[in-house]
Amino acid sequence: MAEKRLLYFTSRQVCACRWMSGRLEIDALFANKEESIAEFSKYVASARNALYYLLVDVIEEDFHQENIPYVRGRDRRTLLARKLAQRYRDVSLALTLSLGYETGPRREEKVLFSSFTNTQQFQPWLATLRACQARLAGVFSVPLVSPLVGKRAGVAASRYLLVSLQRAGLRQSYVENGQIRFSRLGLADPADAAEIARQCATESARMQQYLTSVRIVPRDAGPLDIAVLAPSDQVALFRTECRSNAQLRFQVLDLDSTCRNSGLKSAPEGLLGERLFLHELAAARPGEQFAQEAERRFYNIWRARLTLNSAGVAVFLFCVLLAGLRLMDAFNAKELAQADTEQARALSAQYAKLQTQFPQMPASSENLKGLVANYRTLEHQNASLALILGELSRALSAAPQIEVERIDWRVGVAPRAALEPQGHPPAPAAAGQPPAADSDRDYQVVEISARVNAADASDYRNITLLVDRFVETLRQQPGLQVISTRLPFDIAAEKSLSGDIGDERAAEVPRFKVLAAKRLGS
Amino acid sequence: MRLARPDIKELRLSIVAVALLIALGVACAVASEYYLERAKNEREAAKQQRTEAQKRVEQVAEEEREIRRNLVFYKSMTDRGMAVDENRLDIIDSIARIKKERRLFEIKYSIEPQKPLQYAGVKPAGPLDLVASRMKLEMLLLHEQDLLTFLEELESSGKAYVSVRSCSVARMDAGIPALAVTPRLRSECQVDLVGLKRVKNP
Repeated sequence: MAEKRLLYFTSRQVCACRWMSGRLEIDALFANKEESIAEFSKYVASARNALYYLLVDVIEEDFHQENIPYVRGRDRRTLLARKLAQRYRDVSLALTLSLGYETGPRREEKVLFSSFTNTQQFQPWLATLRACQARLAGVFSVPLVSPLVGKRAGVAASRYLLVSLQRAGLRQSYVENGQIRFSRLGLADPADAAEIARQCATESARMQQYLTSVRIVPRDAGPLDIAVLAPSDQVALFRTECRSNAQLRFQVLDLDSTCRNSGLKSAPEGLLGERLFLHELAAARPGEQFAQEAERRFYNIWRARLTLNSAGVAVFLFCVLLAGLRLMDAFNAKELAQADTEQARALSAQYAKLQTQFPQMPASSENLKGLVANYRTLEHQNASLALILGELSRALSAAPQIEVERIDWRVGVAPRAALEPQGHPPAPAAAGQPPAADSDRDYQVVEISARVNAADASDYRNITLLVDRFVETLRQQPGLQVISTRLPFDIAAEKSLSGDIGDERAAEVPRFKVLAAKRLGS
Repeated sequence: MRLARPDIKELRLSIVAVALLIALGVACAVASEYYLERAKNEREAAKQQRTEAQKRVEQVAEEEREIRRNLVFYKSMTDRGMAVDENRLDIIDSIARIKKERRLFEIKYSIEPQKPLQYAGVKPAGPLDLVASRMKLEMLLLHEQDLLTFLEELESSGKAYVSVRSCSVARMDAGIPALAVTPRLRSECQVDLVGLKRVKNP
């Protein structure tokens, strides 16, 4: 945290104080004249990195309230700058305060214009601060800080006059709704407490009359609250002098108690009421002040640097925190992975130990498993030629007129007709059989070429009867499907049929073909 | 707070420092993310490894039973002579022996190069797998039983697993006297001699 230096500026002297955690110390006192500037320059140069707050307590401070049209943004800024320039010859130390809006149909904005009417007295001091590249936080005035002090002192009224005695004199600041409206500095001799108490009462009455006459205070507003800050030992005296009446309602506050309540831990003996104002200025850092941005250049640079650095550090710390959390997660994950690996290793060792009890294998268990599956598929697809010839032989025994000329037998995919349902649905794979997938399409297919003896080639009825009987016998063989029968003639009504019923064809032997299939494994 | 261009120049060092800090922070975050992701992957892999190992141990009894079952089949293969490397001279000797013992007529054969068995449903099993040599047989027969007997004895000779894939038997006895001892049938068969072979790179 940067060190704070408070410069209490009066027409006679400049008091340089150091403020640190509620403790106020006087560093130096400079007479308000040209000769002191060199000394002040040395003082500032010795603490260039401190933050400087200039608190001005002079008579030449003007307050003026005016209503402006309802405008916003750049237009408002331009209007306010023009109004300031119209009112004040030198606007280098001037400010505007918004006091709210009129409730009427025009909804105008109430603005307080304030400026030091003699800015020349500040210029050497400000120039020194500028030259030393000091971080000037702002130029403030005692009236500007008064609402803060009033709030801290516990003044509850919405409009009141705060009366306090400083080195500069007796200050009367009129505060309305928490904002300064008017202020006046009168000369006073701090040594004569009784005179000050009397002056406080009389000046307050005059001030009330003035504020009413210029309509800052409404006539029908009732008695005006006067908050008087008095040293502890003079509270009784002030209460005696400052008596309430129909226009004024006095409230004498103990300055020392108020200082303590506001957090001011210690202050030099020589400081009067300004110690409370200096402390509030350092502690509360009010936003409104008089200096132009050029005067505050080094303060703004410092703030920008601080903001940048803070943002950078915040982002860095956030990232580091995030990284830390992730690394912790990663560490936990690695520990769990290590535990899993060790467990897997132990289980593998246990498995290897159990494997030693396995019978000796010609190959790995997976290889053996695949090999056996293939072997079973091979067995499933292996067909017996003897069996099918036996079935054929049985069918031929029942048909002695039929003589086989050729048999073509093969294992493979059956003709399409065999795959269509014919009342012999494919048998489901038995338990322990290899999976049916492709092997379901595998059949043993047999084509029988035969001839019919002891029949006239032109005797179509007899030939058809004998062949049908033979085919029927074949069909009775378990699992055997007759796919087609090809006779030497076609007796279908859709086809043409011709013949010769004579002696010439007696020597011809009628031949036919039968195509049958049997599912493998059936 | 407004800053002029010269003021921003005053902040150069801070801007660089902040940029470095942010870059460093982001680098830390990215690196930690990378490590976390890697650790998570390692954890997943280890977890899977452990689960698989546990499953293996839990199924060890079943695996042993399965191995014993499979060994029964393997024994069946060895009993059929499949485990021995194919010796074509032995096969030819067997054919010659059967022909002589059964007094068969002419037998012509041709054996193709050995190949992996390619039947429907057969999948690569591993280094030890089934292989087949296709043999074409042309035989003259007195009776079809001669063919069946030949195939049966070739199988029982224990030189290989005999898988008959196709056979054609045709009558050729036109004009031959009924009692003459001469070939009456002609057969052509395709037979696969299936065995086991250890392949280096299946």
